[in-house]
Amino acid sequence: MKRYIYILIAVLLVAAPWRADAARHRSYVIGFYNLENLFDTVHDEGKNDYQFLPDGQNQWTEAKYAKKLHNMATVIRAMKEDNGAWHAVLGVSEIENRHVLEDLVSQPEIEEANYQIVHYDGPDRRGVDVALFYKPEIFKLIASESLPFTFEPSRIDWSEWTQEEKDNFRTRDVLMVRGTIDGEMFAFFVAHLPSRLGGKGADLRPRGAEIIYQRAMELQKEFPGIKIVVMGDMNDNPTDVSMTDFMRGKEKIDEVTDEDFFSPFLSMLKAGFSSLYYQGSGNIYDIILVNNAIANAPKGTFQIQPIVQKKYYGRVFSKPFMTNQSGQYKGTPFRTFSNGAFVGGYSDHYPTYIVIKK
Amino acid sequence: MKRIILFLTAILAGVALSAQPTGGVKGTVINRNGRQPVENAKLILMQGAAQIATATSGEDGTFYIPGLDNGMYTLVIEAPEFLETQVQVTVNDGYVKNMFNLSLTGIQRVAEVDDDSFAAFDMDDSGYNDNPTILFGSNDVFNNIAGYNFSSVRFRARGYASESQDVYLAGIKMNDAITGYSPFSLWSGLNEAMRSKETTNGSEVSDFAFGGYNGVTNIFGNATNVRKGLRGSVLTNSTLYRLRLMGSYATGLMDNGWALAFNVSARLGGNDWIDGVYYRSFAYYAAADKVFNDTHKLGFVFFATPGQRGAQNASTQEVYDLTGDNMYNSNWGYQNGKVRNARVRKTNEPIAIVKYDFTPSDKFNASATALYRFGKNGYTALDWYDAQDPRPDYYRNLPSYFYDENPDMNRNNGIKWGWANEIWTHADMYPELTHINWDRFYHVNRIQTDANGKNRSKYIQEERHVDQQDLNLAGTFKYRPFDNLIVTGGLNARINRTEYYKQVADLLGGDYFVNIDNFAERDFAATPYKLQNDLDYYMKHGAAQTLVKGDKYGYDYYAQVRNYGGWVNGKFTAGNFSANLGGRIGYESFWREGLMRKGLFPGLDANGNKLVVDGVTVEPTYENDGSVVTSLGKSKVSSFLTYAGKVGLNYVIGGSQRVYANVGYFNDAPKFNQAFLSPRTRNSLVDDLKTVKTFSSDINWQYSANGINIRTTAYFTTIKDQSKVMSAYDDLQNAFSNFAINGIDQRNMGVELGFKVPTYVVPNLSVQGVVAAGRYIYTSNPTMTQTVDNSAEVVMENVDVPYWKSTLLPDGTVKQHFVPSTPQLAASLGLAYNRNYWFIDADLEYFGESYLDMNPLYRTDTAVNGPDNQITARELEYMTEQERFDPAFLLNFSVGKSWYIHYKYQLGFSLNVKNLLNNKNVKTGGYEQTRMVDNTVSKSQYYRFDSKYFYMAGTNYMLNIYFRF
Repeated sequence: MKRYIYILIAVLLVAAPWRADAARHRSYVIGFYNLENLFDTVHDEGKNDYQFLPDGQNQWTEAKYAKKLHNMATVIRAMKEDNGAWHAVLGVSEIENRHVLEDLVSQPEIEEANYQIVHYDGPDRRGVDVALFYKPEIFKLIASESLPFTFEPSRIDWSEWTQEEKDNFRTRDVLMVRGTIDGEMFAFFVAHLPSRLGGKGADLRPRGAEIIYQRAMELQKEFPGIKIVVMGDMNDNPTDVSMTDFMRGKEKIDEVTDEDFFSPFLSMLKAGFSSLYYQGSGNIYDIILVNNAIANAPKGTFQIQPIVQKKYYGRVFSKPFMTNQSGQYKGTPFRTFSNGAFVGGYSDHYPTYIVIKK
Repeated sequence: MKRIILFLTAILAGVALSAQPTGGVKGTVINRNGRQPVENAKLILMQGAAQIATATSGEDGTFYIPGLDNGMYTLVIEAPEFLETQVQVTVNDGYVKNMFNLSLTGIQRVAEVDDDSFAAFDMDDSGYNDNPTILFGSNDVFNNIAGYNFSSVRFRARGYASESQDVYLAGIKMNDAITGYSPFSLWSGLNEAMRSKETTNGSEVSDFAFGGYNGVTNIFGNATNVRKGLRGSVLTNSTLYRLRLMGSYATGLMDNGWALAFNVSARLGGNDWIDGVYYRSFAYYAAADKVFNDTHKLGFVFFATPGQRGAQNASTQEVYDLTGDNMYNSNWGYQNGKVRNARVRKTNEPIAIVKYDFTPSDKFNASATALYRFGKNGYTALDWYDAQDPRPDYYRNLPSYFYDENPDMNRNNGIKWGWANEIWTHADMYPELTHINWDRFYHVNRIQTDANGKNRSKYIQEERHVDQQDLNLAGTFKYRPFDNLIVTGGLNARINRTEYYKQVADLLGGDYFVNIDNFAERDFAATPYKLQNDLDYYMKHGAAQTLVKGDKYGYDYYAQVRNYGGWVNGKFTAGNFSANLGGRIGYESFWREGLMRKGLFPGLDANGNKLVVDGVTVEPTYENDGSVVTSLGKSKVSSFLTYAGKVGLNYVIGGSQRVYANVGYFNDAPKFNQAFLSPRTRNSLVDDLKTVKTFSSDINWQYSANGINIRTTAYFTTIKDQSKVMSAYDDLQNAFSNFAINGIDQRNMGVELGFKVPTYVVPNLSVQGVVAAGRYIYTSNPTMTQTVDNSAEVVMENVDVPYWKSTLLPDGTVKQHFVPSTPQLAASLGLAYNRNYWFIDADLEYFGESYLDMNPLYRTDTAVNGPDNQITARELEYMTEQERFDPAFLLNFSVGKSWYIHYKYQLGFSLNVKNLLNNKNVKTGGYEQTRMVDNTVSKSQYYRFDSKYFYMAGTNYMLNIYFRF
């Protein structure tokens, strides 16, 4: 009898590493994080960064900037600790320029990730842009482009807008980055759609979605089988028309066709998950969508994975240190500024991410 | 020709030279790892596929490419052993773009895809069990709507007394130590400084306090929590004061670790609705926080709201009907043609706070606070000697005193009725009779000349003082050992010494007043020592003290209160389920310490011997337990062990909903003001003081998503063994009486619904509403002990009040009696519009099932049976009936807008108009007079005195304009 047990143990010992190898699929984390005004302390010519200067309204000193960089890096590091891996690709928004991105990726907390930067100076009057970090050993950059916000061609009725209003309207470009992961072609869109403040915003976010969608469909035609991830601060919920109609973001993975996107945060919003709060109500503006080539991927290629409660395909990452633990804003993200004062927190948004696996 | 060509060439060259672009790009190439400069890196500037320029980094890594047109470029950086890096560069407006550091990553550092590149989701069974994080607490739709809209009718959530709501400032419980009343007036006018707060509902536990069953509000009050910037506002309203000016300045937390905040205000003037009510109140606040190492924070706060305001008085319906004005106020009269209020609250109670916060990690924090409240709190009133009650609406001044159609009342003087009726129906023409006649007081006081040529005032204005010295210490902690467990707890101590006394505020033209008890004089005129308010003074000087302005007189004693306690609460979360369990324990004690020896209750001398006054030995009177009744010195100490426990369960259902339930049991000490039979005169305690036992439970459902907020709650609460002491003139005893009521039980049950739902039809327009339907009833018949101020004799000792909770009529119907002073049915339905910094709210409200506060006397057998001691059905129904107020509809409207100017300044206004229907017949409260008419013809029954009421103002507004920068 004992002999059999020894044999069994021996077989298990031999088999174990093999089993582990077989299970060692390649899983990558792809996410987005709104960094809530990551500004440096020097004036950029032509940028409206006056609030974020040492003598500006926010008294944006080196010490505050250093604390802000440390905080942002801490969150990115915390996600790595939680997932056991650095994000392969991380889109960010509300950054002033390439300088702050260089400073961020050089922070000791995340320097070892060797993040490479894709960034274009955008036309936004507030002077915040989007950007993309990627790990160069995983993602091989081929091309990138900055998609400007235009009013044509569109199925939205712009008759309420005068030509002058259209000409004067400025918002952030959408960033598109194309490359390969493990030989498969990918495109990542990073967006920060127009905000909810101000009057005629309701059609601007659908238009932003339209721009992304049109370019995505072109890419699908140009590169058959391309895997597309759209991420950003959409200033809309996944339930809003910009995401459901203009981005064709579907709630259920099995209803996604090649003309659609899978919108994993749609069901999560309905379940009560939130990436930011407005007047006490939860929202997920930090949305990630994937095209059908990732949602219903051909066998042996990268596919999106359920990661939360074995049923949700996305995750809103929040830890107690990123959350107000007391006070009137208890339970909401611990942000950098509150009521105009620097309070030393992280961001008013929580990061979101998905995981793909092959 | 050649020269010309040369010349032209030169010009062209000059033009070309001057057109040379000024734009460029510069920066420093560094090694990401170690931040060292990278020398000889090759920089290739591309525009599209075209190569524009190249450069090489210098020894210090720097490069500079000049002469670039505006446009977008790609800068490719190549260096041996480094990854090739592409940087997008935009040159704008001819500026040289400074790229600062461009860092390169070493090739060997990224050569392999290591394990750290793969997410840990490799095994099929991994993943996260995150849970939704819906904020249910902070945006309670019921409280948001009810809290604002229902305040004008004195709505009390769930029918609970306002004392049951715990109000904390900087972690210190501020409810009055003597009465339990909520203390908001201590900081009224400091809205900016006190704006930041945290609230819990029902029996939820807060981080700062265990709380009771009616919510906890904690106002932070420290400098860091005051909104940064300079703010000013001007406010006017039509029911309280004309003008409020307020300014505040706060720095927020500065780089040097300090935060400073200041707030000042003035509230001035009268109003449109209630004559005599005015404010002359000021407020100031200064606070500083200092943060050390992000771990320690030390905070200092000092504020006060010195000032005075005229008060309103309740009157009987007869007066309101005769004057045609439900806002008639009997407290004021003309003095030399100017309005003067006899009842003025004069307060100056500064508060000083020192607070220390310790935040070593995000898992643990603790704080310690010391708070000291001191100063003066006075409330003026008329006092008189050897004269009739000078208040204009005194019952003997009204028509009903002279004629009543009921012959049994024996009021048949039609002529006097006619005179009185003429006066009261033309109140404006007879202000000297329908309002306080100050000029007469001065006249009378100036002709009371004594043997020394001095005038002894008959009428004076006294100021009743309740001066607190309140020292509080509290420590709290919050500890999160695991992500799913939070433990909070705290310790607190309170030492309160409150001095009750009155002083002469105004002799009204006379020269002095005398410190004797005029009620006692009527009964004991022949025994001078018994009349003395201050017997020791009389024994020393042989006569009562003659009083001048500012002298203490009448009574003078300390209420001494000590509270010590501790609490702990644990909140555990597992998946969508969370639960909390907590407990509180405390020791509370209080005693009276008399500072004046009153002639009626002299007790013994300092050596325990009987006093000898005017050569006569004074026989003391005795309490039931055999101790001497005394007015001077320390009473027995009443002490109580208090405790409470709470359990809460919470389950988050997917789809933005949760159900939760709370159960609590509370054993609370009675308050000082419920414990002494006649604290103004003696140390006698109410017999058999009991703790108040409360059981509360509620179950709730809440929905919050996509702009829809709904909460509905069902609650059931029993409160047992409550007691209270009330004082009034008793016509049967012809004496000022005290009624101590023991063993009042009540049961509060009901449902609450609050909702706010977008209309979807019109963008930004929501429908909002509230329903609060409760049934708050008395469930016991308490016992009552009646004493009079003039003697230690007990008039009624622990007699039943058999008609308190209900009356069983002979026909078998039971008339239930209700917990008064709040609508038991309140509802609101309205529209809210919110867009582009505009808000517009319009709400229609309904209030019903509100009842008048009962006095116990009318519910005793003595009152019901009448002088003949024969009960009749008519007497029973008449005497025990509780008045129910008529229901009321109200319409309220608010509008506001703010503008941002240059992203820096904010200008805004809000206008609230309440009671747009101008409904002037809404009773908001009142009380039954504890008096009966006994001099009837038949001598077979008693009659009630008319009740007194407060009414709500008609259409009124508040306009606030503010500026912030």
